[in-house]
Amino acid sequence: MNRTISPPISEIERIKFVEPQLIKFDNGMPVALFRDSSQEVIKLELIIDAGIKYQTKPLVANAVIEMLREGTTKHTADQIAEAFDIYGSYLNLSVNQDFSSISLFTLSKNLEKSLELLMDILQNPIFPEDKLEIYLSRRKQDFMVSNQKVVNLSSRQFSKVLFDTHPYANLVELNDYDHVKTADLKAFFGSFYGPNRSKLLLAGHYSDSILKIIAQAFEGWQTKSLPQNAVPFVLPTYTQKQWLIEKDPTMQSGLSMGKVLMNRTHPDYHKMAVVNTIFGGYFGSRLMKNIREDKGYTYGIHSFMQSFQETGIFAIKSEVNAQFTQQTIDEVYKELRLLQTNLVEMDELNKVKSYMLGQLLRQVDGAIPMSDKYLQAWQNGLNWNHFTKAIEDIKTINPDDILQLTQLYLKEESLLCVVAGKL
Amino acid sequence: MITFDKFTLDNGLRVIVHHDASTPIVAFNIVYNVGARNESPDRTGFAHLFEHLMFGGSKHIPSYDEPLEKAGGQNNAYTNNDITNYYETMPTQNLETAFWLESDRMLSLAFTKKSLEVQRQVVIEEFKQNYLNQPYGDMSLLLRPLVYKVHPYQWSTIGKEISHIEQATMQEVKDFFYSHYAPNNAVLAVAGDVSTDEVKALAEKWFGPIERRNIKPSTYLQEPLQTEARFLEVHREVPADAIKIAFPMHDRLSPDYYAADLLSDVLSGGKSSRLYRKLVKEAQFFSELDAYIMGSYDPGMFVFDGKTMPKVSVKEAEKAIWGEIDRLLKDGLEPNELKKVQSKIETMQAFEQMSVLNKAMSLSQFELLGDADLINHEAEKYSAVTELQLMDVAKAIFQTQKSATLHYLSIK
Repeated sequence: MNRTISPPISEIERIKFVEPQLIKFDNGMPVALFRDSSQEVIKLELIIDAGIKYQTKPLVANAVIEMLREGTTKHTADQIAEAFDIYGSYLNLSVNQDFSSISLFTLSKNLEKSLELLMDILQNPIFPEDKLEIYLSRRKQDFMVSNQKVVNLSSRQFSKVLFDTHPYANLVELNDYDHVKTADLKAFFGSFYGPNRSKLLLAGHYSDSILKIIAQAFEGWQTKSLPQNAVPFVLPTYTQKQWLIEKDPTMQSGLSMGKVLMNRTHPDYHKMAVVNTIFGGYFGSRLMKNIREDKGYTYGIHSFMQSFQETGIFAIKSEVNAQFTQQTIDEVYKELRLLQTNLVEMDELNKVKSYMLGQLLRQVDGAIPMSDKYLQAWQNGLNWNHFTKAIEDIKTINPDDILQLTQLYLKEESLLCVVAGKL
Repeated sequence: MITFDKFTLDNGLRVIVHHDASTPIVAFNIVYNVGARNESPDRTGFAHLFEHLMFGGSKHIPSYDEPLEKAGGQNNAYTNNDITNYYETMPTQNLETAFWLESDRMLSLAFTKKSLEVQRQVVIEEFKQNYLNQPYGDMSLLLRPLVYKVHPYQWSTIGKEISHIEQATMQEVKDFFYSHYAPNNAVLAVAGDVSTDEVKALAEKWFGPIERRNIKPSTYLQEPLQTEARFLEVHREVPADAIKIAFPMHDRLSPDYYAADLLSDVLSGGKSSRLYRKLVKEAQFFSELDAYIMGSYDPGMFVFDGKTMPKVSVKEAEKAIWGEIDRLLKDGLEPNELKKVQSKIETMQAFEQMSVLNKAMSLSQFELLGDADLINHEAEKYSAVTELQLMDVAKAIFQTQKSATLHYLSIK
């Protein structure tokens, strides 16, 4: 047996995307159903068009969702917490720049009771002032701790300069925690939480009769007037390209670099995802190979694309040995120039293609991951065609495309750079 | 119920196969019976450094990651105080690539100077990133030696100090490899749309030729009974005071392990738990407060871990934790309290068992603990715990003379 030779490998021919059953409840709320009866579990996710971009005061979108379970006209916070726990149900609450999301994970047998609670917190929250104060003072403490980490300091400053006056910058200062009031929460909740601003996803095992109960529950949710949707992004004019927040020079520097790029709806999105993967998007990327595996400057360095409704970004993040901060930045630019001047070898490109297709295959393994993946398209008004195109683009992209895309989209002078630590 | 087949190669490698036809992904998980507890006290952090070196090329294959990525695979690894675990997930048709790669690095590493030098630096950066340049990052490093005076659990997997990693020599690295990495010191599990015959043939082909090795026996001592409360106070530049209180608890295979795990959930699992309700929300002593167990193989730790609110002294905070412990010991559980944490565990297990990777990991690790089938009895062990047993375990664990307390004070 010759151990130097790889066993034959075969390409991923196709990736099976399960079509959800798309329905609408009587009040017009869109629903995507991924029924899968192999396990007695279910995930229900409600996506509400109530993201950070709509808040007129910092912290409000997050405070609203976290305070939903802190008391309703029918139940106290303790009763709500107790009941969710008795049914063994987990509630995940999250907020991003565009959306708020409420996910319920439960055994199918406990769905009906958990749903009753969910509808109560969604329809009747009272946002009690005393509970809000406790919440804010705890978050304030977390914020102080998080500001001691160089990676967070550089990330915050990076968002601030990148998005400038747009709410995606999500600027938070310490004293903001002292100025959020119940009235702010009620106003935000009143304007943005409603079935006409929401979508529902259901993945797992459920019966037809349960589906009917879910429909009735959400059909009883009061529609809100005054939908407000777009918060258009205009690219700021950047007069400064590099920032330094000085911290302990003996430890590590937090490094953030990047630019505003594009979101999922852009025709070059998937091709740029290939460029990003080669550059810094996986363990075998050029950044990792050079800066971690060759030089040992860092435990990890990554680049990524993040897609929002109004735009998207390309960014590079790392925590590096503070002695080598400038060398790391130089190497990042050097790797970028290489991509702009030398054609990628087919061997490397083919590896990245296989890796990306493998990732996609893993991401849709099972009804719940499948529904999570679908949501990425669905919340942008897209469907599985978006990912079918991803497969097509990954399979057909060639070294010339990579060269041209890098030249076009990742000009060295277009990147901003923020260091927290030492330069 | 997770069904599986099990066989052992002549060289001692144990192999578990779980069939799941619903997925195009196959999971390959190999666990080695070596962790930080197998290190010598002047060479700590070695098992973890070693995990890094396992990606620096093996005898016949210069790069581990490249061929795996070409096959559409993904991999990672982790080290804890007991074990080192490596896994790959692949498109099913490329399973053999995982066998090829994992068997070659079990056969022998390349042991290049470059790999050792670079990974040494990477691990030092990891040490800084997660422990030194991280607010509260060194708390766990400080707590362990307070609880363990003899047992090697007194150091974390990252190691006691950076110098141990800095001084590691190639000869020591080789010795460590040949005394712990061997077919007879590992368990492999494969889960996915594969047959046992297929896995058997691949295992014979790739792992079969690797010879058994002499495993360095574990010579460390078990921790003697603690009879006096222990205390440590440190000052750091952090925004708020923090506290940890640890108590010795049972080993992983003890029947009382499950009661202790549920006990930690009663105290701090979720929004309706005691500590969260009483001390975070009502009294507002803490911005966060957790109680958790370290699920270590040898007798472990039951830990209270909190950060205080401004204006609350760490003494008051400590008193408040003891107040909750005393209330529990005196009044027992509230109706539903045990049932509640049991149903949360039931839900969590159901979700965990949906992934082939989780299944492969659990099967191989339980086999290492004694029997892969233990995975199928976890649920019943949790649901069999009674209030009486839970209270007995609480009384046995929460004793002042067995406590170790760390005050981590803020220099403002």
